[in-house]
Amino acid sequence: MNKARFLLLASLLVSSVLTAGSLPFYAEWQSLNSMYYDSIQSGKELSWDELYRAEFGFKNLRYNRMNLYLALATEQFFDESHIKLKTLILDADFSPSWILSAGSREHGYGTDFAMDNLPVLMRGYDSYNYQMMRLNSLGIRYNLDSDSHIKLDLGGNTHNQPCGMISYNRQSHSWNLALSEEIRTMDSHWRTPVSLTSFSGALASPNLAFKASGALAILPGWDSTKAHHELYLQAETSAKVAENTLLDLGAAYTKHEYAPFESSRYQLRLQRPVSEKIELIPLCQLSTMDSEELWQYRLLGTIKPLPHSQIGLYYDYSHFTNSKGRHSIGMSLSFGLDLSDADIGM
Amino acid sequence: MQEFVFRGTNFVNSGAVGNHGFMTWDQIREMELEHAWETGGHTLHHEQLNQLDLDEAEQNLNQDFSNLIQQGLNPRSFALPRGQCPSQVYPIILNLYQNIRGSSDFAMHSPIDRKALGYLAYQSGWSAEPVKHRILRGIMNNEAIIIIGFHRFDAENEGYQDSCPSSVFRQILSFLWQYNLRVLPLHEAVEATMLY
Repeated sequence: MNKARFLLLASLLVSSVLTAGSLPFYAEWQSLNSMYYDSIQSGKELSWDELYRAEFGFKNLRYNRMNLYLALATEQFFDESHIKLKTLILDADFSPSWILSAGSREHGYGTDFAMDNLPVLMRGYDSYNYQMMRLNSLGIRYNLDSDSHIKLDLGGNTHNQPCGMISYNRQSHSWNLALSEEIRTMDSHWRTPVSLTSFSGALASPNLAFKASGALAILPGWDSTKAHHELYLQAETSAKVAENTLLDLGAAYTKHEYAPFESSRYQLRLQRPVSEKIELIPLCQLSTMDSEELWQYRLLGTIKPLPHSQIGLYYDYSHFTNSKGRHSIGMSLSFGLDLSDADIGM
Repeated sequence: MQEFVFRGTNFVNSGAVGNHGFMTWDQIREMELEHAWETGGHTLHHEQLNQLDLDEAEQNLNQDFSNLIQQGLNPRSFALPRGQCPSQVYPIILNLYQNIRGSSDFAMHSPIDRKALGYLAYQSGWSAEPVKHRILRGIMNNEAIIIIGFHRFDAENEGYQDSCPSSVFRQILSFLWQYNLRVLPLHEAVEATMLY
């Protein structure tokens, strides 16, 4: 790491820590270390996978009519400079109804599903499951009432992906719904224009939680790209089936015009605490990719020694249909400090 | 691979080029200059870098790189012999190459660390299945890049542990073709993961 970058990072960290007591500072550390033996790969040594991720920043830092969300992150690289601006959003309230925002963030469809994150980082560093891109944008939001708003975003990125998006969001204390229509001049795969129509929503009650997300991509005929459509759908539900026991079901489906043409995942899991801080999560997952099927059986134990912190240990056995299997063991960590809950104003 | 319009990287021991059973400079040049393959460094004679002192390692690496350059090649990737490399040798390699491939197989998610790339080496006696399943798991697991290595072809009767029959290799290539996967020289593949 060169000196200038090191000093910048050090000053950010020091100033963040010094002022953390009065600012909505947060920091997260996540890791996944796993080892596997694949009985089909005879003669090969054990394989060891490591994933690391660190993120810190400020959530909802208000000053007069301005609001800042800042997230800096580094993934995998800790012995060289590789801090990226994950999110920087500046909001300005012009009136109770109009909010102007500008900044940079990751954008895509399908995020924060529990089935993707057991244990943390299981599916790598991708925040979104479909059409993820970097969106640098200017947005204007109009609050229809206290629970709903519409927003127009215009922006793009340096990979020649300008886009415009209009979205509608509504939320109450127990549910939320978001609808959007986006036009990109370049799809992330096909490099030709695409229209993306999406929905996402969640519902929570004392005994049942439901979350779903979907996107329909319509690609017109353009150069060598034939006119076609793609589909992404994902949903999961969590039901309280007994005292302290949750039964969770998850499903994800993606249809492309490139391989894998159709892929899906179905996950069934139980979550049951065995003590105040220890929980057991057995799960079974079927992943399909065109004609291939991968079955996975995993027993995950989690320990939550502190708020925002979790240690996970798991054993996983997986196999393709009519094939020898892979045995994996792993340990995940998710440690965090979050002072943002109070939404501290200045 | 040419039949499937696939390209790859040749990691060559430049001191052994032209020896019995090894490629010649003409063949290596043809693959890079006419068929857009990549030629990568791999030391002069497959010396393990942890068994050389620092001066020997530096001399070996510089000479190996120079041999490739003198042939009009453009080496940008280096494969560590047996995956071994003392930490003080890494800066020497990184002064010459942009990508370093080790010899362990692990998942590589974007952003990938181009100085610590893993790969799966084909082992004698395998069918196509272990390689196909490794690739399928990688796709299902959102991995950004999967590197598969082949050391020899049709030499399993000579006692080598890493020889692949041509028939199995063809099955693997057909599988890659069926899935329309991009098969690229290492340097291009690493660059492609950094596009988004």
